[in-house]
Amino acid sequence: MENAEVKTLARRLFKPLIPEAEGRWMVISGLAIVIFVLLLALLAEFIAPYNPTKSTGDVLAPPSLKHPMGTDNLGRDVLSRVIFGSRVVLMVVFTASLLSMSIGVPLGLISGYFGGKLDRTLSMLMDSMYAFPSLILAIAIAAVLGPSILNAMVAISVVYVPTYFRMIRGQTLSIKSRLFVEAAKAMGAGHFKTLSRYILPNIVTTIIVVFSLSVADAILTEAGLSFLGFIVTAPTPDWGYDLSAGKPYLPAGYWWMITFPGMMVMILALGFALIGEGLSELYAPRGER
Amino acid sequence: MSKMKGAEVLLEVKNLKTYFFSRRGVLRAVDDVSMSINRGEFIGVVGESGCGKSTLAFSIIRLILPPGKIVNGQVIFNGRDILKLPEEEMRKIRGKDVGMIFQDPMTSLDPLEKIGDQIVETIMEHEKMDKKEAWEKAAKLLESVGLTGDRVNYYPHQLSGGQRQRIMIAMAISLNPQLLIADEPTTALDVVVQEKIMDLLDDLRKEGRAIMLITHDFSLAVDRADRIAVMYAGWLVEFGNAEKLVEEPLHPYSDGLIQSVPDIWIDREIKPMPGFPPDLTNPPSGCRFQPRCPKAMGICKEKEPPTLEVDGRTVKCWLYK
Amino acid sequence: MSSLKAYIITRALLVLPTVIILLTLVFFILRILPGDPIAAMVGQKVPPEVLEKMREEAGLNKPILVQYISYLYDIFRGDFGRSMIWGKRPVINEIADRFPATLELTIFAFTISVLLGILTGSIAAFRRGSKLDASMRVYSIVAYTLFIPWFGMLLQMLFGVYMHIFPIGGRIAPGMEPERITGLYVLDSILTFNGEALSSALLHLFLPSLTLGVVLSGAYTRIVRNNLIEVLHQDFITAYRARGIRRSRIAYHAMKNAFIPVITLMGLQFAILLAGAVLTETTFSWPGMGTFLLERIQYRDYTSVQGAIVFYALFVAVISLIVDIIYALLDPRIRY
Repeated sequence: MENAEVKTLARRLFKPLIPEAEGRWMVISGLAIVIFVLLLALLAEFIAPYNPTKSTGDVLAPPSLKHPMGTDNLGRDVLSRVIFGSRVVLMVVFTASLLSMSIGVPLGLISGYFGGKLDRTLSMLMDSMYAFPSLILAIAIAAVLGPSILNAMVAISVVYVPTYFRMIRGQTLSIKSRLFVEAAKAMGAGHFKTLSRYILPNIVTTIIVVFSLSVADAILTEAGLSFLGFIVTAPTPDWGYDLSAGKPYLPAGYWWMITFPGMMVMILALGFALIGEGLSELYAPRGER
Repeated sequence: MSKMKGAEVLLEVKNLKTYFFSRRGVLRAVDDVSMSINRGEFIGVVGESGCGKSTLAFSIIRLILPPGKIVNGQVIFNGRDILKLPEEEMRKIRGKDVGMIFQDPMTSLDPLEKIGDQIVETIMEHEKMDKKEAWEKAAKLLESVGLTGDRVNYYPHQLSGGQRQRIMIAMAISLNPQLLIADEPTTALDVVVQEKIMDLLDDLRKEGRAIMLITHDFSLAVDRADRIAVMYAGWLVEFGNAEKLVEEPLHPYSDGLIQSVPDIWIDREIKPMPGFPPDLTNPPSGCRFQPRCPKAMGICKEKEPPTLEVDGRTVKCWLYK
Repeated sequence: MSSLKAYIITRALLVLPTVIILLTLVFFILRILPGDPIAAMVGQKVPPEVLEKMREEAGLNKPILVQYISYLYDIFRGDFGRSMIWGKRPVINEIADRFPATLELTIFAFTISVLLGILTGSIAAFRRGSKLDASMRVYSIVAYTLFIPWFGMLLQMLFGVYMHIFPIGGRIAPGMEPERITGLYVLDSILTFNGEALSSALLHLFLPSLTLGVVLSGAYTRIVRNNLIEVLHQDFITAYRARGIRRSRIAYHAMKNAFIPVITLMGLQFAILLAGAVLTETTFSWPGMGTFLLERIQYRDYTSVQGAIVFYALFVAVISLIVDIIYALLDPRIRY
């Protein structure tokens, strides 16, 4: 890419941060949430007041100054578990999303660009997968592979490939039909050059939006799988799993065991959803909304 | 065609101002327009696109949506100032006393409802009638606009543009309104269909309805109109007898429009008018036509021209002061 | 209206490839993915002879192509195999026991989500640009990111544990089950004039279907809002106004037009609804397909797991067909 092109692309990508852009608050608050959770995960050892897997001696203690989010049935500090719990989610979701992106984007590009039988076959397969309830698909895969963090990553990454595929394919088709790609081809640009130089830069914004939105969704899927016991086992803290651990104590009124881990799931998913929604609004050409 | 002189006034527009309040400023789409329509009269409102013709029409039936607003003036219809009516009273006038036909028949019909249902809904909104009777009336209406009655059972997408425009007309006349406003009714249609729709409008006038035809195409208005109103940049620049206006236009803009139309006098050379209508949020000083006017004088740039009475016509130009 | 019939038949035929792809996908996941499903489910501690016997029972020792063909053949015959535990009942009977619970939950949740979505979306559209519009848009994002078990438990805590208005689990008070006709408790208790069962069933349904309904409504809020804004700008709305049609009727026509694309969304939303139902059922101890699937995964009942997933695939296909038909019924442009 030439310098000028890089600049245009950069300007488009960072447009959301320009002060007068509308809907910017969505992107900024989303980013703030995500950075906050990332910091929790990175600095867990320094922030967490207690060891998340060891009893503090107080069993089922309500929130207090000593334990801002109370303690669980085994006397573990809920705040510390919530802080450490961010690690598994982020790891699983990021790895899985990068995996599905690196499969879904090239497939979508190829399918949309070349068309033909390959496109029809891939589209039909991806549409069928997309139509199938994602969590149930992930459950099936995780059940066959056995519960583990690695298998959960595989399961979640498979589930989100069609999301990338469909969006990227659609974009590629519409860009391909635009004149400048035709012109590039007429001027003798090869397939690889056309794809990488003319189409890819034009779908970067789409990829970013789809990534944010599908990460938001994947967080909920991860939490769901974890809640159902397909990701971590006993002492490892993970929000979804901790929520299910708190479930039996709900009828007795121990609200703090469930409130905080579940809230974190929502906050993190909300963070990515806000980024995605905000960006899709900002990147959209004027007049489209 | 001047037989209408001294006829009873059906609609009178007085000093009407309709502005649009946008971020870029105030857009004066209709600025101090006064005109009238007599009973049974055919009026042509002409001018280039964006001169406020449609806004004038929508102001008359009070369908100006925010950020637009009628800021001043009177619209006296059958002796009442309808701008002062409560919305519910006004709604009862729309469709019943004033019918309207739109530019694009492809998008002006509800795609999900049968033609008959749409006509019947209009009839029953304004008149007490049982459903069966209304359906029969709908079929008769379709026949009166040159379609077969069985079209009531069709959906819009099954019909051509010309047929749909006939249906729009059938709906507009379903309650026998005294005034029919046609906003560029043939622009979206091909030439052959265009003629037929215009003939249909002519027939409707012969039945005694007043018709207000809004068009950018001078030639459509010339053949049929009793009087012509020429609008430019939100102003009514000339208004009067159609024949006189065409033979001897008073306003330089009317002249320019007539010269740029090919088929009024076949042997004449066509002279396209240079330039475009101005940005109405920031109109030129003095006369709004002055930057394009071949006869512009010093005063034209300085002061807004007065509206004068010349030869039974009104004209807004310094030339006649 | 023979063209409508023709349309439905074509759609129905087009569903077949989708069904086969989905079934193949399920087959692939369950039998071809690296790793032995039986071993993965049972764990390492089982003696090899037992494993072998279980494989045989599940038909996993034959060549893969033979397995595939007999798998498809059995499904089309309606034979889902026999459960590997307890009475070795046919899996299809087990599903027949559990499916009505899921259907009942999803119907109520679906209705709640659509109604909430239309309400919030049209409020936003008719008040475009206002504070109300902004808050509806926030609602749509927040609703979507609510984690179902968490939201469900919060409702349980509030309405069940503290206020004692609604029960926090189960389908109906024990012993109150109405006589089985359809398996849908609400419908069955109405059909048998069983008022007590009806009220108990409705009370039990409320929290789970509200949980699922609210979470799913966000997507509808958004699409209803955007479609309605688009429709309200169309010429035919102006034309209605110019004919003096009253506001409420115009709003009705606008909503009807805005609703057409929503139907397409419903098909895709239904998949999300089923996935959400798995979590809802677990949270509310709801004896439906989701809890059935999870239970059988725990009991290592391989044939039941396969049966449940295949059933989900078929169900999704049927729903997409139904959505297509509704679409055609509402939109004359598709029909002719």
